Amino acid sequence: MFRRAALGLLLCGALGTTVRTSHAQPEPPPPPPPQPIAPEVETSVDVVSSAPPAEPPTAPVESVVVRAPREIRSPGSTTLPVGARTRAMAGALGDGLAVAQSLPGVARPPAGSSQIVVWGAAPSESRIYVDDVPIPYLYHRGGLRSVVGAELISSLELVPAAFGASYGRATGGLVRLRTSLLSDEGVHGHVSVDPLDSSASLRYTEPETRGPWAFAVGGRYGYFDRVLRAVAPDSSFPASAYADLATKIVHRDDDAITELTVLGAVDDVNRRIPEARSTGARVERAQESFGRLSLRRTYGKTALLLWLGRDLAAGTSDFGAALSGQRAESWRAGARVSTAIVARDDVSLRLGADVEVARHDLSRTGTVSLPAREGDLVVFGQSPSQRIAVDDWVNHFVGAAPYLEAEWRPSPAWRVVPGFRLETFVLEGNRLRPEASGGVDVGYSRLVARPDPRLVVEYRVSDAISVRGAGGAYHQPPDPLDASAVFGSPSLEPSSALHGLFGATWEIEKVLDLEAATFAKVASGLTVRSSLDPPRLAENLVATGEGRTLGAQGTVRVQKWKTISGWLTYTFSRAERRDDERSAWRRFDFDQPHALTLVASVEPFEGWRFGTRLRAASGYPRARVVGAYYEPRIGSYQPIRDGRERLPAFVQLDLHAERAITWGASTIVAYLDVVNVLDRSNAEEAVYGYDYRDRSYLTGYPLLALVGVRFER
Amino acid sequence: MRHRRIVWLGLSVLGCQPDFDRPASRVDQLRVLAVVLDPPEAMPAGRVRAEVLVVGPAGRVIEPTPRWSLCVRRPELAAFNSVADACSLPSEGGLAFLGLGEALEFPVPSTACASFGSEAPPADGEGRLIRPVDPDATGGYYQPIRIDVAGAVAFGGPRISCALPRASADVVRAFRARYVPNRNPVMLPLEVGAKTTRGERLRVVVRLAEGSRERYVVYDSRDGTLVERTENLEARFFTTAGSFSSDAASGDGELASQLTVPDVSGRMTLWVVVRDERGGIAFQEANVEVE
Repeated sequence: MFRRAALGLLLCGALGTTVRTSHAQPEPPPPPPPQPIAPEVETSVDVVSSAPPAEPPTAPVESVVVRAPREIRSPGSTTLPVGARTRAMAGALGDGLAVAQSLPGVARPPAGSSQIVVWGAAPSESRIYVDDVPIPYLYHRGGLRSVVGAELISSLELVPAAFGASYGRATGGLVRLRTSLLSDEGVHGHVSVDPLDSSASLRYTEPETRGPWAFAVGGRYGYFDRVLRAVAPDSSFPASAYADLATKIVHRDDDAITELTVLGAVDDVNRRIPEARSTGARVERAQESFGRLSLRRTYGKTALLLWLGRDLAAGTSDFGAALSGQRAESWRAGARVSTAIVARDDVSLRLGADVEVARHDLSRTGTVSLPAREGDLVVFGQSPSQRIAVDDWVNHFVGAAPYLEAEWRPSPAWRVVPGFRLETFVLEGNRLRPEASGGVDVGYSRLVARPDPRLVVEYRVSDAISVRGAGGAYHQPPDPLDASAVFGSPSLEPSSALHGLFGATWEIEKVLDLEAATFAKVASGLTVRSSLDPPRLAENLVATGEGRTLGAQGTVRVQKWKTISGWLTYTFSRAERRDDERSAWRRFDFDQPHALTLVASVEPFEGWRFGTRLRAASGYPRARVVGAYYEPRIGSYQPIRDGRERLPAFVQLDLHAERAITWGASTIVAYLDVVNVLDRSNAEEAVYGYDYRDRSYLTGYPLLALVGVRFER
Repeated sequence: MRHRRIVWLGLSVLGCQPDFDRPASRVDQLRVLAVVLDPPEAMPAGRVRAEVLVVGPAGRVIEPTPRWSLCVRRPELAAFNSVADACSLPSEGGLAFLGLGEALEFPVPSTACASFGSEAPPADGEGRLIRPVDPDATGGYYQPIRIDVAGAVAFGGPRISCALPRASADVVRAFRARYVPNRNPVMLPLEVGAKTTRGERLRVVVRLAEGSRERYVVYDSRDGTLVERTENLEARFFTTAGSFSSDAASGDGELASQLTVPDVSGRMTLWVVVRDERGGIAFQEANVEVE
């Protein structure tokens, strides 16, 4: 049994000391709205811009306030600087990027989940970029730490739908991280130690008079898995042994900026998951890593990006009689070029190309039912089918997408941004049919081209009120892991989606802004299990799935009123899926009709800061168990399922308090983070007794208190 | 193209695991504990005798009479369950009535290997090939048989001898020469005294006849070779009263568990069910008087 008290005490009493050293020199302020439309590089918060600021900055830019980005954006999207304030958000546990899971449009993730679900899109349908380089995930296993040290990140942008033509290959949303351009002169650094991990970073920027170079290196080593094992050896929390590394070198000259960035992260999870039957347990092992090397050169309004990467994801799940495992190793490379052109006084253009290539070496063994897919009626803790299969296969992918966006300003009140992206995919594999003994494998190669038009329209009713609409078509290539002739299908086609958004924003005295948005998404060609019984050979998966999401979202942002800042957001949505046009619609596995998040911080006195985060959300749909039968041959009961039911609603309140004492250039910050202040037992999964007659819930975080001290200089 | 993160869906949770106070070894309601097939492995069209062990809090249950049905639908390829929903939900029409009784003899359907085995079913109306069923880790396929007794449902069924999937002719010949069809393990009577005292601890040890742990060959489709294995046996312990230290025991060593006798007088019944990994099953029963 999980020892709530033990873990709570550990985290209350044994949290280590966090020491940070850095010069208290703020990042430069965000640039003014680009005129004309700017290439992607200039949307960074700390970009060097030659344009004069719209108004002089009066305070350091770093703030947890959700800020509207400078360029025209889709309704519902969010951009915010990452730094000390986001680290201090209640529930963030000191990670400046944890805020992404509390942004408007993001569904409340299950405790311990590292996934991001936005507006009815599965995690695999959204993309995460660091400086336009795609990375496979944002958080280490367990979801407590991001894979890129927040010290190097300057801003975070979430676009839950209807993103512009610069991006593609995803039918969901976008998360974009921008790394710092290291414009703070001098030596900076930090060292941090706590019960989750230890991290350190060092940054150096040559004074402008001495040279053009700047560099940063930072890393983190996690040991929470060992801490958790010591105090709660039976916990099934996916605590990971993790590490990550980020390095950046910047060279500035008169007309260009060159950035060389290296990112890497590794995770290793080894845990025991209880089974429904009282005598068994599953042992799960997962190893994941990725690395990225990128080179970006920006000349005025033209940017060129080249990158190379390797991903590895391997996992095994051992049920004794049934051992399942899969391994995916991918080598990836990409290039992106973009530039901006002023065509007329009222028309500017942004054009570019986005290319990715990849080679995937994949293998799977075990049951087809693991890992479970969206839509599977899975009962937590149930042993999977003991039928096993084996396959090894190789896939190649080339994606090339030229794109064009035009910004037309027919009048001062109107902005119209039509865009067009031509998605072309080359899908290649070594095996169209299951491996034949002594036979000859037949491979395949397909070229697929899909036009993706995009449109954003803004009408400014007044200086304070604007109305925006956005929409577009999106295509996503099939997952290489689904292209197995044994477990999936090599003949899958790209999935597609149509997004349509409409919203209005009312900004009140640059203190408060209100935003209302409605959204609709329709997806088709989603990869689902074949509904044929039995399925055809090499067509275990088919691209016939459909999805639809409809919702509305209201957000109130307090940018800075006296010392109060934060946001309150509520999203109502209904997300459904079906396997094909003849099937009935069902609830999407990540459907969360109601999601409310309140994030606030206040500094009532000099040196004191208090924060809170309140989250309330509908429970996720899960399989409804209506009975069970016994199978003596495998020695366990099997559930009889009929439809879905929801887990109970989730409510969690987190608090944060910190005291900063400053003398000279040094600051000591002592903080207290309390997670689940109400000690509410939030259901994360329904679990059953050995014969499925007794039901209870696996619950999420208990009341946890974390204390820490940070030294800054 | 995305590199999908390997996530075992729905399992990424913290894990405050509740305790259920009903162990699987406690017989507190009518239950089916075993379905013994003789022989446990048969060819299509071969005959098999099946016997069911039905128990309740008062001991072995003779009435009501079990109802036997043949499952005629193969399970969905990716289903966690090894039996098709059409057979576990009788309203779905996946069952064919076999008979009534504690034991029954029936023929294995001649189409069993096409429905539940390695033989690909006939191509569909568009001439497209159909995906055959995957074997379990022992290379086995099974014909499900449903047993209904007073609301309790169980599925058993013989292992069916089917052709090796995608194996070369040499391997097929070698397999036929070396493979020995499964036989049920043979248990010797349980050595627990007929009488005991309240609160006492009894060690229940499974004793097996020579040869119960059989050797067999299995086809490794990744390497295209035959691999020799020794069966793993697992024992399950059941009782109408008291509690076992462990509900199950498996492995190469002694199969045993410790029973704590209840603090009340009366008769209690113990059962031990042993199964091998190829579907062979045996059981033993013992009655103990608690004084």
